[in-house]
Amino acid sequence: MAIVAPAWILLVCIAFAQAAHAAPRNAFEYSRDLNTRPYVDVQFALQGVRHSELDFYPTATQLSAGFWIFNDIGIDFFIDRPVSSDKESIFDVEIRQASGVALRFQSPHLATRLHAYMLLGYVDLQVEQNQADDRGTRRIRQSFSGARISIGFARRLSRLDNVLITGEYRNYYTEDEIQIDGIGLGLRVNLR
Amino acid sequence: MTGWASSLQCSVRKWVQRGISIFLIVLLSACDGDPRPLLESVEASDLNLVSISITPNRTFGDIAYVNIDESVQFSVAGVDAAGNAVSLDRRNRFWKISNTDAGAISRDGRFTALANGQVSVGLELGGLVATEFVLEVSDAELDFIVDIEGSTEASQCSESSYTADGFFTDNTERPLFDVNWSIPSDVPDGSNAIAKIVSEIEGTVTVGAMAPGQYTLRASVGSASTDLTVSINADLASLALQPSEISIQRGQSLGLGARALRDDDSSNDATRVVNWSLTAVNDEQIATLSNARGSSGQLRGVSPGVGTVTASCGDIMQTAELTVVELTSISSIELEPDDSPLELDLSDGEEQLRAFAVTNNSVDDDVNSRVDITNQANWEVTSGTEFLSVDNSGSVRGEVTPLAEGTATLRVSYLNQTRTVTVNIVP
Repeated sequence: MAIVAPAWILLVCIAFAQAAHAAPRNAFEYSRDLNTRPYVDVQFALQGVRHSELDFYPTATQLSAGFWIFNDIGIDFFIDRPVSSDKESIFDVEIRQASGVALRFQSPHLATRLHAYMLLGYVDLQVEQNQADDRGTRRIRQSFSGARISIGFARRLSRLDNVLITGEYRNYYTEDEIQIDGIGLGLRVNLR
Repeated sequence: MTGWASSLQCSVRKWVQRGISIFLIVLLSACDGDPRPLLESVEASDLNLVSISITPNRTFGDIAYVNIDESVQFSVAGVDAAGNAVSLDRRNRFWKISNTDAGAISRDGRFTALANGQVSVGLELGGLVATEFVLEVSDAELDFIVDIEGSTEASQCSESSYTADGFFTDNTERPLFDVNWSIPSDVPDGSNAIAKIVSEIEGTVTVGAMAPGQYTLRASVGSASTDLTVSINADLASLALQPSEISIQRGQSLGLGARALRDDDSSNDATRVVNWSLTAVNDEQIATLSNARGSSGQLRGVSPGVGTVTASCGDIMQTAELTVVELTSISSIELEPDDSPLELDLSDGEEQLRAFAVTNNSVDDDVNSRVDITNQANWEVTSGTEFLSVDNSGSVRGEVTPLAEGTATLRVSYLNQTRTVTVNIVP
């Protein structure tokens, strides 16, 4: 269920953007044009929660929306919703929610239609760990907050100038005893 | 674009850039979260804990009184599903107190009294909750020391523990924890002492009785003090040293042990009680041997030579020959047990093997040319690793573990020598 809503939002955005958009024809114009638009990004993420020598890989969808405040610098607002939890031993872990705000730094084009980006920002998230054994069941929900750091790439589709494929690695929380991160793959739509 | 508009745009851009910088600094420094509940759940599950309990590091009376600014260290232990005691780290836990006005507790379980009142100390670990321990903070001055608690009779070459109770200005009687313990001697240098303090922990003193007779144990707190006279019985038959012959390398450390043997065939560890001494041929310093509190019996080789180690309790003493060698090459390696093939029972579990270097360059070839190299040798299973494993690091070097029925080859090497032994693991 969690993946359905972001997917619908993305489809609506693609349709809206395609209808409204008159694509520029050269790279310079394209770049300028791109950097004046708000955008919506939907990703499917394989998250990693590592602690106590156990690795959990829950999945989630991330919906983010943002706008550019300068050429190649934007502000993102994002929210993650869980799709599935992951079980290891008697423990079942998922990231119940993650949300925050980040600055997006986008590189110049690395190749035709391809650029890299980095997100630096703040994330607030909640990890839920359920356990069930002979002694019964137990649920723990712990909140974490801190810096979100992501690095990734975005490649514009040849047929849909305002739609980009994105892929990124994101780190939500790291300390000696626990690490929370993930990799995501999705689509970004530039709106006007 | 006009000049003023361009200037305004430039100015706005600068402020926005500054804002972004501040935004990043604030966001990146704001990090919060506590993973301990997640970790402790796994820890409790891995250890199969069914209950936990907390204990203070002091022995209190019926009511646990503490003064303001006084501290009490708590520890935690668990019990697993099989009923076995499990030791747990007290550090970085969810220690809780019921009354934060009366006290505070650190993540490591150290309670500090802040104001008069009753406080319950508790702990939750992986969903398990310990029974709370109740402390009564009541700030009062010590009026006088009531008594010293402990036996007034001791066996020669044994240890006895003592505590002291005080009467306070709030009419409470409490155990004393900050006591200055002493054994007053007839002569200032203490050369006629027949007893010595071997440890002092949180108000409990442990005294080693060395020679028959009577000594006085004194507890002092400020100007208040009280004495206890203790008689030492002459019931020591002999002493035994471990090892009975000592060979170490230059720079190597070894903990010596002494055991008191009694007429009634009982015995006790006397390592901390005996007086250790060392004499060397030619009066050279071949080793150091400690009598200090906390390191009694610790021997360290200094230079090659031979000598004698003596442990004494009053007039009763025992000696052991000491050889300090500097190994550059050895003639062979011996193992204990020295069976070949070595037979291990699969059901017996781990077994500690020991390796000894037979030296060809000891100071005196006639004296003790066998040096324990268990912790220096390289231990390796060269074939049959599915049947046998061996520890080659840490404090259990040379400990073999049978894994399955079969035959393995164990190799022990040190300096220029290698010893190979066949090991049969039988069901």
